Amino acid sequence: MYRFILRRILLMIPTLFALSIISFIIIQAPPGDFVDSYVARLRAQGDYIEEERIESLRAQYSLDDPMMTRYFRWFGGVLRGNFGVSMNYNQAVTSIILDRLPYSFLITLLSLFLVYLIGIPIGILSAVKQYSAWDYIATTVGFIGLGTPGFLLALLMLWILYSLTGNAAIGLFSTEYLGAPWSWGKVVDLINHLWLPASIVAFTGTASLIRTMRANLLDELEKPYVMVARAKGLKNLTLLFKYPFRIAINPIISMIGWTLPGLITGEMLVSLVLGLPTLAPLFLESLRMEDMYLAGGIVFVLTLFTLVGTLVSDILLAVIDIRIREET
Amino acid sequence: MRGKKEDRVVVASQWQLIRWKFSRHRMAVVGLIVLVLYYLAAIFSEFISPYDPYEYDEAFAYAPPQVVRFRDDQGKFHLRPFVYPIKKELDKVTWEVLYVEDRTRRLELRLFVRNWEYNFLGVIKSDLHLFGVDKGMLSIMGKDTMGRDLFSRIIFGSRISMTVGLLGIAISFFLGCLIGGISGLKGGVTDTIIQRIIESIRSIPTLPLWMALSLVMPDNWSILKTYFAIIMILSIVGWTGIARVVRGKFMALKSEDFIMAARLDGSGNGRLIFRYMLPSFSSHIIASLTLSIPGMILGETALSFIGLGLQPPAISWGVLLKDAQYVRVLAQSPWMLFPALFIVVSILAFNFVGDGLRDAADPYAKV
Amino acid sequence: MDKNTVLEISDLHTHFKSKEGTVRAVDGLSLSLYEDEVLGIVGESGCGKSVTAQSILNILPKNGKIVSGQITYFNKGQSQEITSLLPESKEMRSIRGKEISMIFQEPMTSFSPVHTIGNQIVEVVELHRDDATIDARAQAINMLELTGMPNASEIIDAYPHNLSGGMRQRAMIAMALSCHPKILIADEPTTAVDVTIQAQVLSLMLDMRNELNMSVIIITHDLGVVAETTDRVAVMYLGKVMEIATVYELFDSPKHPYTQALINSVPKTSGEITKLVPITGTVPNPYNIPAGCPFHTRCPDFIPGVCDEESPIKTNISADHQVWCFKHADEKKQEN
Repeated sequence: MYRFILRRILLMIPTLFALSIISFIIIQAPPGDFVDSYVARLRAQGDYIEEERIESLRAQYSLDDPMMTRYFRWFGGVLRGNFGVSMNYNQAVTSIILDRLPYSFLITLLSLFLVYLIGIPIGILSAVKQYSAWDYIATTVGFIGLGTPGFLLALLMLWILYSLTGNAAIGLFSTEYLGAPWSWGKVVDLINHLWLPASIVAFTGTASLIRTMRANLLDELEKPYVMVARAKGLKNLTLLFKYPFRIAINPIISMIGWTLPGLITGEMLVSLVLGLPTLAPLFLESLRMEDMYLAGGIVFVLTLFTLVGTLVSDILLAVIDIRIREET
Repeated sequence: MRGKKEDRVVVASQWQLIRWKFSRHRMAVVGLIVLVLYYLAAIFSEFISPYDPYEYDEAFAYAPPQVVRFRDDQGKFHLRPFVYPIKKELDKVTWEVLYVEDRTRRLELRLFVRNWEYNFLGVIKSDLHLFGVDKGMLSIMGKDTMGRDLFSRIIFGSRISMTVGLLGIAISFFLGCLIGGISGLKGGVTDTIIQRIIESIRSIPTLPLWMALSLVMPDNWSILKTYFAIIMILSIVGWTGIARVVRGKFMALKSEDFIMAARLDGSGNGRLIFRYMLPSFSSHIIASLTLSIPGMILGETALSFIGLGLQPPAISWGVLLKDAQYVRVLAQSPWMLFPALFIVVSILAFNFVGDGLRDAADPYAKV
Repeated sequence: MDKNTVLEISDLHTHFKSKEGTVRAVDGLSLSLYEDEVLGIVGESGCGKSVTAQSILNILPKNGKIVSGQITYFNKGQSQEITSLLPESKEMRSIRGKEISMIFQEPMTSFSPVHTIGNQIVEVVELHRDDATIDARAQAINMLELTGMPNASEIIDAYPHNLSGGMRQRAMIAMALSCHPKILIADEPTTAVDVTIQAQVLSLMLDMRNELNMSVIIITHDLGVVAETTDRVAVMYLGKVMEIATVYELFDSPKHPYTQALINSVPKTSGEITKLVPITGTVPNPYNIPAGCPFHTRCPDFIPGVCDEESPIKTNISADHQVWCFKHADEKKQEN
């Protein structure tokens, strides 16, 4: 088991390396650089800027070094947890990201939790009671969720909230807790604010999980071992959870990893629509400003999040399914 | 009766079988009809739109949709549908502009009316439109911030939104088959490297990746250039999914005798992939292609919506929704969400068709 | 042979509903199983032999249902009518696995791939033991050893995919017998294993029968298996029994044209070389079973106006030999 985990972590290293390159390409991709766009912005405002100042800015951010040098300097920093300096904020990227990262993670993880919490039981119910009213309702809701991406749902929510309350500013905290030190009340307040965006993000994912769970379980219910278990004299419910459910859940567990990128995408769009101060607006701003170290850092961190998610789901899968452990 | 049908099944070609099975899938057939309508709308946008999508009239900014009626205020039934014209009134207390229906006149909806002039496909000059009103203003789905007709804009938006998915999938398909095919055929180190790359790309959440890549497009690019650039950006992620499917199938097919025979005949890799292997699972591929179109449509919509994709004056559903992102606009004119309805319906339609195709393409499923 | 009946099936009808219509999988079947005997049920695939087995344990798939008829289980002077029990009732469940046990065709897919063999055997023992102090694990190991499993105490912790096909079938038998059932139903027990293993599995089953004093029903399409292992044989066709006889009588003097055709279509390993005669025609569509005797569409002795209109009634050839065929209706005394 430990060997499996170790192997799995070692396998992550080349992927991580590839990702650092992709992130760096993203940093380098836009035509021109931060200083160019900074100067352009100043000039657009009618300000004057001296050539010397431009040069010193370029030197300050080492923008004129060769690409490889800059990559290794950047990656070297990343390995030590230093993502460089945001040119826009003139502050360490790491600390800017860390300010907002927890909220993005919380919303994403909470929505992941909701997806599984709601999707699995409904999926089981509609498989066991196939073609019942329940099944039809679940299937219909599933289809609606399939067609309604989170940000459209968020727009709709925004409208409904505004029509009902005249106020659609959701935010992450109530005013009295903004800037207040952490306390139990503040945590409760945060959760009160998080569940709505998290449910919106979760909606599409839940729909597809219901479909998968239902289909997997229906497949398993047909398998001979189910009849064997019935022939033993087991109760239907005991049997369901000991055998077909245990096996149908395996692919669902391994889905955690690749559900995450979709949930992160959903979280970003929903945060943008609802105006939540998570990583998403920061990322959008950094792209607009061509503050590329910040942008690249955010991409890297979000990807690392999904990589760890995949790792965790692979390990979980290996824990519950002997066949996976022995294959590798 | 039954015997006859069984005979038919035995001699039917693969595609006939797929068609039969598909036509039994009711939702898939409905989806297909919806998609055909959408693409007809995209092709004949000028003919279907009652108004020029760019023609603005500040006087009707945020005018609400009219109700199409058959029965008038007196309860009299009219065979020809009609709307009541909209007129502006100033609220005496709040000094707000209000739109009210003028119940004294009826505007009859007519088929094949003459209105704004257009060049269909750049050659046929015409001013014929599917429907409209003779005099006065028709507002099926309301007017936007500048008084432009939202319905006409949605119809024109389908041109970009509905083709982004198709073209994106075409490029993804080509790249996916080629790279996935090579990976599956060669195996070994090549396979490992390609699989690592695919895995890396797939572990990046798509939206941030798309957002970052969209920065490559300079602001001064033409609509057409941006349009193709966005398709390329969407395909960068899109091909990986198809490559995986193709690789898996190739791994399984590699050991089949007919592939070995073709290889012994001296077929190169390209010929092997596109001439022999792809046709043997094309139905399966078509199903998974159909199922990945919605993701592309949503990608374009999301990018344009947050202002990193197409920019006005281009018209796509995402661009249209951008107007609806402010709460105040939404509260005042919720009909600005109509493009969302079109998006949802198209995504569902693609999913139903894809599901139907997947079931129909399964040779082991019951006829 | 002792003629105490342990299981009595009378006029059983089991139907399956599907989109295309209703399949009358078992269509008026009557059978008795005696104490300590091995009864074979033989027939082509789709004749309803597996459904009969599933009906006995009331473990039919969702779309299947016992429509009418009785199945009665006799034990120590008590009789229990199985068909009157709800499929998920406590009484029904206490019969399954404890009184009547079943071995299935596919040893691979009959085990859950993510649970150990031991886990799945111990489960049955724990479910049915009267005394909670009985060491279920020890009993499971004991049972595996009894089936001739090498290293039973290690195998018990193995997963199904670690075992060979033959070992899996041994484990399957151990699982079915772990509660010493009175009746063992083996549904095509040798179809999915290698020929070399087949003989081992069959002789193991017969050994176990002697060891545990139980009655066995072997369901198979293989006349060879029938000839080697059974005491009595029922021949089934499209949900009905065509002929029942002791194994010797059946092979020596088959009465029903279908039984004769079946025997003639199998190569003989001894004696003179004879020509193989295939049965003409195909099995009729199960959605649309012909009226009268179901075999009349392929029968060489078809009597028009009789066989295709009325259902044949039971004819006693001898005390142990019954046939359902108009051809023999006049030969002997008829019984209802």
